[in-house]
Amino acid sequence: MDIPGAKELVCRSGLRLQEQGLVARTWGNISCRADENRFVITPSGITYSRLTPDDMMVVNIHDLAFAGNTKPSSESGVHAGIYQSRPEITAVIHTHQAAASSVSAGRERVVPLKGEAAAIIGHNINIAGYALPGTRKLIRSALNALGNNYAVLLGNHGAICIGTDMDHAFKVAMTLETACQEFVLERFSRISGIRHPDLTSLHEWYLNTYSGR
Amino acid sequence: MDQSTIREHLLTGSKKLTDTGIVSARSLSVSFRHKDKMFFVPVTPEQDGSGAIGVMDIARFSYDGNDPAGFENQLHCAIFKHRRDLNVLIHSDQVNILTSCRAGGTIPPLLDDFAQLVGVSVNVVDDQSLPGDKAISKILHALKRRNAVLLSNRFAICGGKDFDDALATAQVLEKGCKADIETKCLGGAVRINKIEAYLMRWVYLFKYSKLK
Repeated sequence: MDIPGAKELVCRSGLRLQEQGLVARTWGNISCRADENRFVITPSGITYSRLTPDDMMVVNIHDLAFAGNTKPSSESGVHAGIYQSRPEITAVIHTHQAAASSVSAGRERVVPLKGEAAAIIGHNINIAGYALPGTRKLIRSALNALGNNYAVLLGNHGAICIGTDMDHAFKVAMTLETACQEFVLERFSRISGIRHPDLTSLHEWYLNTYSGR
Repeated sequence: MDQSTIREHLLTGSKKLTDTGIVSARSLSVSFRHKDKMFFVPVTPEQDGSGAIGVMDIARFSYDGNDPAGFENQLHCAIFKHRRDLNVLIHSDQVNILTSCRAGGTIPPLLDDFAQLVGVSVNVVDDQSLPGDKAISKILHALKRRNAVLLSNRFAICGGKDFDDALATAQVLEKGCKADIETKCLGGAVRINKIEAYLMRWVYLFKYSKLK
């Protein structure tokens, strides 16, 4: 993909990220591979609704070099690491989606998937250990936990979803969200004994068990 | 900003809140600071018909128990008086926030965007048995160094420097409450270290909140 096309795609996809409720404000980031040495990524700290294609940053996959005064997303290192280790991947989305974020904050370290979700994402989704945003520790932790899957949960943070193209990455993100919510309800069913759990019964159980703490 | 621009700004912001589901139309309570005055929607625009804007003078605010503006507007005025960093206050009654309001306690920092945008924790304040001035004082204390507070059995008050900021605060608070509730089913929660939570809050306040 040429650079102008990649910039257009990333800009458009940033708005999509916000419209689909996968991020709020400036959080999260999104990139696509432009060629074997470069990728295009959203800049740091600017709301998606104010971005134009010209604001997108071109970053070197191998050394994270970029041109201009604006900084690329602080998670560029994670994106670059994925592009280096997974040559088939051309799109990376970092989201703060709600259900995946809940699971990322829990003590379960692996989320087993079944059926269509497993086919799309992978059979066992790992939760990477917590690390401060933008750090090398986060990069190492995320890449180790990602493995050959198409998504990884970042502890106390959110998710990284990847794809062979941008639509694939978004499909992974939406599938992950549904799978994480189902995982929570499945665990709720185990501890409560409720056979057909839903969020209403989960909240009722929570209030009966934890009110007045 | 003239009055009609302020009216437009307030009604546009209110519509954004109801459209995104941050608050239901029946619970809408929004206020906005412009210079030293607070502008608020006195009733829902549909009921009032005119989209009238209430005005209170923040500098001369005082509570005497008979003020016709009502407790919530007095509370907003007091918050604006004590928090120069907040220019918009909204109420949110999203589902996880409401459950947390009913459960009580404190919402811990389980997600790093929560620590950055909302605060290192959020308190649920039980103020309903208190007289107005004591209730306001208790809520102000609970709001210190935070952008949100939960009122027991009622709703959350979320603040920001503008409507988008207040909206994001409400969205991230809802997500944080959801994580607090749902991790109870996942063997408990892994909390972010307090020092790291404060560090992230500081970096957000002094770095990212200044970017466009």
